[in-house]
Amino acid sequence: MEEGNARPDFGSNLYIEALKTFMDFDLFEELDQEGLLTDDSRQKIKQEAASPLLSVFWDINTLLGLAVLALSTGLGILVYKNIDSISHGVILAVIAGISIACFVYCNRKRLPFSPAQVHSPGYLYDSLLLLGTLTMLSFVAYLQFQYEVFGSRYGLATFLPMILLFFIAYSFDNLAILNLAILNLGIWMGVTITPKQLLLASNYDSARLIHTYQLLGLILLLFAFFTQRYRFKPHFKFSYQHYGLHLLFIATLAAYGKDYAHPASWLWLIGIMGLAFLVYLDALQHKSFYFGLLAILYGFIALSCVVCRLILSVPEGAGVFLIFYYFIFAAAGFGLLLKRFSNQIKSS
Amino acid sequence: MIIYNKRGLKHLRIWEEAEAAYDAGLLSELDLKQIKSAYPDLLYRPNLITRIGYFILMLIGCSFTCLLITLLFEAAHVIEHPAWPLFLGLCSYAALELFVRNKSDFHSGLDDALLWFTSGLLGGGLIWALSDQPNSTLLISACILLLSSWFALRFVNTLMSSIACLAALALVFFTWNKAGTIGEATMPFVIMLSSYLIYNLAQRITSGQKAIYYQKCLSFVKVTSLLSLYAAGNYLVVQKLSNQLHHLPAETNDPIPFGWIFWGWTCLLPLVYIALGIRTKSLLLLRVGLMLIAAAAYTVRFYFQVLSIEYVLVISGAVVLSLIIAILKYLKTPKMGFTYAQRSRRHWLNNLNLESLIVAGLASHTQSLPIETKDRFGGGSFGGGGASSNF
Repeated sequence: MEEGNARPDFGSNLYIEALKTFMDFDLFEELDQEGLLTDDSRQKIKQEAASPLLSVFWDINTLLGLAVLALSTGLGILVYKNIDSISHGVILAVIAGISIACFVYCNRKRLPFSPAQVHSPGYLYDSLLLLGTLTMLSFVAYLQFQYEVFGSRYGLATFLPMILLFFIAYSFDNLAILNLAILNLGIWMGVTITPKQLLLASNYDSARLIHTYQLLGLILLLFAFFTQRYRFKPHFKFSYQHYGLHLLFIATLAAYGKDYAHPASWLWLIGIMGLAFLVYLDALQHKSFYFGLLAILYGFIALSCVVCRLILSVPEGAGVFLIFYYFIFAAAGFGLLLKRFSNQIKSS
Repeated sequence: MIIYNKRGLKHLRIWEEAEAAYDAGLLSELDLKQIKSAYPDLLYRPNLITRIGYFILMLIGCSFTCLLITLLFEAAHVIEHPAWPLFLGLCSYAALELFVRNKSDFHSGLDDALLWFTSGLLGGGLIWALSDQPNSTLLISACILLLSSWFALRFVNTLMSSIACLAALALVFFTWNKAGTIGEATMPFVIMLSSYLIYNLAQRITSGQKAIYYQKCLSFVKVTSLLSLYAAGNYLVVQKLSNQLHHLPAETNDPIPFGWIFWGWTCLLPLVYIALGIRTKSLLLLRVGLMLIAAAAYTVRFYFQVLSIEYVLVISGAVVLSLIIAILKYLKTPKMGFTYAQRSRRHWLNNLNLESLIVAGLASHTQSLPIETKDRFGGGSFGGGGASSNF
């Protein structure tokens, strides 16, 4: 997440990696003639030119991820559809078997626990861990559905998978599962918090829902803060902060919309700007372009809401003109702020 | 032709090649530093995230400037004529030219935003102006072709080159459509042929050393033409298009004449791509082929629902998983020029944890069938039902 030492052009690198076939050996020939290569590198490049190697690392990993998702989704639907047929016992046993096999494999391969980042032994390991976790979730869901293990205590029924997910995420050091766990925390609190659904569902009428979102956002930000503070799996901070910030910002904007008629509703906007300022400072300190941009954009939105409201509240006058002028200058101003921000990060 | 600083582009290319070689472990850090100081970075290229920010802000600024100008001249009824967006588009193109000539920005988000804003105004104005002409589709696709080719050539824009490729195919399509029934019957083959010719042309230009700064654009053209080559013979596409040409209701699934040709094309072409990709060591062909297998599977399932979706998912997942484990075993040592060793770093993906976010996004549908979410806090329209058929 510390993006400080990332190269400035990583956007365009993606194209090269996805589309390129071979390196340009003529170019290295030229560079060599200019005396820019050491003997060792020249040897390696000559060897490469004689027998070039293509890496299918990302292709294989993408396919692995897709296969795992297809398999676990298919098994989940199978259980769901066969829930009252004879074969469900067999399916259940198969699912439990797959889950246990995956965990046994991962447990054998995993490196010892440490509060710092533990790198995974490989993508196969990650994929099998994910498969094991997803099938385990199906299994727990089935138990609840069929035998009502947790009765009607739905809180407990969602709480247990969440705890399990957090436990797996921390003990096996896996970000994908951490994201699942955060999502489950949201389900437990009565909301599903994938940003996509946040935007699509846009079910903002209920005040209680909005305040739940805000509370959840705050809790996630607290998690992010403590993760950083106590250096306990510090690379998990990104996920907490990512979900927490979007949630808190969007929910507070929604709260402003809900309380629009209330005279004190602008306090919500002040809250957003204050939070954006804090995030900006934090992003500067930790050299995170992503969170800096978020702070700038959400700050821009909040400021625009304030200004538009002020302009429109003047009964007569060139309201629309003023708003257009405001947006032109504000876009330029925030652009300069963004430039200053990225220069500051690069120079530090 | 290219508006950007040529020397800057040359240095950029050297940087990219050197960094790729460094990531593959072929260059030492010392060499990389030496090369970079011998060829300093002359262009302003902020990272992807800053670029997105610039893009959004610039787009907002441009839109409101145009709105303001329009409002000033509102009394003259300028909005009612297509000449107005064309005029604004020309103004914004002039701004773009001036900006890029005087600044060292190269795809910094600012020039991208101006470029897309300009092309939106010009393209929209042209479509508006030409839409009531006879042969409007022909004229429009010709204009879009000219416009996007110019932008692709002058600003080295990858997406513009894809659009140009599609516009060229549209031009062929609408021209050939004039030929009546014969044109309709031979349409798939004409599109196949033109896609192949475009691919071949792009391939030739790539292997020559003349278009050295257009490598990425050419790759985009190649991907687009490979996809259209497949789509032109895909059974589903051909059948639905012929429904449209014969003004049949869209739901009719009547077999089309010479269906076996198209079935063969649908199922075999992805495999041909993959085989060619492996033989010619082209990741581009290989990856397009892998993607198209999914398209072929979708087409087959569209007409023959032999298996329900969950069995398809389980079986395909299990097959792919075991296949990959076999490939991993096979590639323990590099074979046939392929290796599983990681030879590139994806900084921005790693930094954004994008992968894990995607997994969470996909899995949020799959894992929540459990608990019919009786929300503790009321509300919450979500939960339940993992049976998404559009996986």
